[in-house]
Amino acid sequence: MRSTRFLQTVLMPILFFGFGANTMPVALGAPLDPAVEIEKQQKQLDEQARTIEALRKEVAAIRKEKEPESETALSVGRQNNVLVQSGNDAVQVRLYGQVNRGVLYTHDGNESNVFHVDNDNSSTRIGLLGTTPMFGQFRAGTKLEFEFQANDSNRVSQNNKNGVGDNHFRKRHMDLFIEATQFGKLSVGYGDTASNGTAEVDLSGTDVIGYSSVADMAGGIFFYNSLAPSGLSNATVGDVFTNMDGLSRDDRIRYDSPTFYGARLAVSNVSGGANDVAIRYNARLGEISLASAAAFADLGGSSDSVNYLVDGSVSVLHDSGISGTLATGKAVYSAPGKKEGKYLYLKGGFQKHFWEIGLTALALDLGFFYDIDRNGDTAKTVGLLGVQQIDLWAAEVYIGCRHYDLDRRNTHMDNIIAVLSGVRLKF
Amino acid sequence: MKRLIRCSAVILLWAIVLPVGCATSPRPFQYESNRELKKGPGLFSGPDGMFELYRSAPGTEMKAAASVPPPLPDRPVEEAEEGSDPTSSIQQ
Repeated sequence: MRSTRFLQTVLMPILFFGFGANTMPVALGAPLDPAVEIEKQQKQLDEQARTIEALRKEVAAIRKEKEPESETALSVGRQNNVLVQSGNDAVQVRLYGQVNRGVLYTHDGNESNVFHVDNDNSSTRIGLLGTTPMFGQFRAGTKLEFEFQANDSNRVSQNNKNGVGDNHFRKRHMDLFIEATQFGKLSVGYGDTASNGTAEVDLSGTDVIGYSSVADMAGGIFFYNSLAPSGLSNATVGDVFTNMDGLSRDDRIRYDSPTFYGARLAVSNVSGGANDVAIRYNARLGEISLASAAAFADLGGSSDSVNYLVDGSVSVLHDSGISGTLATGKAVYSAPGKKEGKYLYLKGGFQKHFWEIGLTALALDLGFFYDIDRNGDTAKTVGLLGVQQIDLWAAEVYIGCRHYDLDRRNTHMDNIIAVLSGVRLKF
Repeated sequence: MKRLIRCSAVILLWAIVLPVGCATSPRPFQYESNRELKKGPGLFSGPDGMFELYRSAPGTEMKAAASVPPPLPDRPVEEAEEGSDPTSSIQQ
């Protein structure tokens, strides 16, 4: 009897309805209210619906995280550590650039000015370099490089203190080339002519703040004539200091020979008829690094003022850190009666790792420039230059102080003092 | 005066370079202007000093294709296979 009651009250409900809390009262014969039961079941359904919705959202989020890494171009790039893809094997495309900003103080004998400038010694720029093997040892490539200078240090002046510059990118290189070690390099497009840079070889480690082109620091500043009622003269630093560095960059075709025992010959033909030839020689001689270059440029009919340029420079760096640099040049002008312009630039320097943050370079330079703007002009400059590299930030902090002096016939020109300090950061 | 300075400088320079050059055989040395783009690392680009946007090598495409994961279980297979060629989307 007891066993029969046990079966009826305990086991049967378990077998037929399970252990659910809501079923127990039914099984145990508790009073059943259909409305309550429906409400409970409705709550259960709602809860289950919320759970399903939450799970669905979770799955969608996981899928969203996965998709960019698996299906987009960027993700494929990341898989290969690149951002773009090419159908050509062994292509290399690289982006590079730097920012070089400084504060320039000038005093012309009458007034002082402070400018926030882009250091024209090595301007702010960005470039794209692409290379690919062609056939055999031949390699082809393209170089696109543009500078964007706001308030160029060589263009600001007493009359133009802010907003100086083109306010757009200026071309530096739009070049394509093909090269092979045994055959040399052929370049076509806008870029360095053969003679560009031949007056600017410098191993002092301070050329970011000063080199043979001494007008890069404050080339736009006018000399002040304190004896004239008008005050400012019409002669700027850039007019009387020039390093005659060949044909600069231009639209040209250029060929560089292979290197023979450290020497390399280059020739180029520039649109408009100018031609130039240059030779470069670089070598390690015992404990001395030697870099040198020389060039001759025939401007043909491409210039109204200059017929020929001859220039050269040599720089040596001893392992002890002592360096010496010399640059010189001569310009033959087309104007009747105009004397040849010439200059001599000398620099002595010292560089050493005084502390761990990076190399410290110091230099003192002198420049003598004759008959460049007018016959009888003698322009002299002396500069004290210092550069501290900060390896951790890929940056250089620099300061340079330069004194410009112009002796002009029958004219009194006050000296100009310029101090430029800033940072060049390679990104 | 200026001729004297020039001659002195040239003589001094060659007085240093020539004896060393004659005494030792020259070794290769690559000069690159520090004002163009300084060698060495960049702040953001790292040790190479340049951002490598692209560098391909044989087998790159195979790796890229293999990098596409299988479709999620609740996703139709047809949808996953539609854009399975990773290079197709890149070339566009």
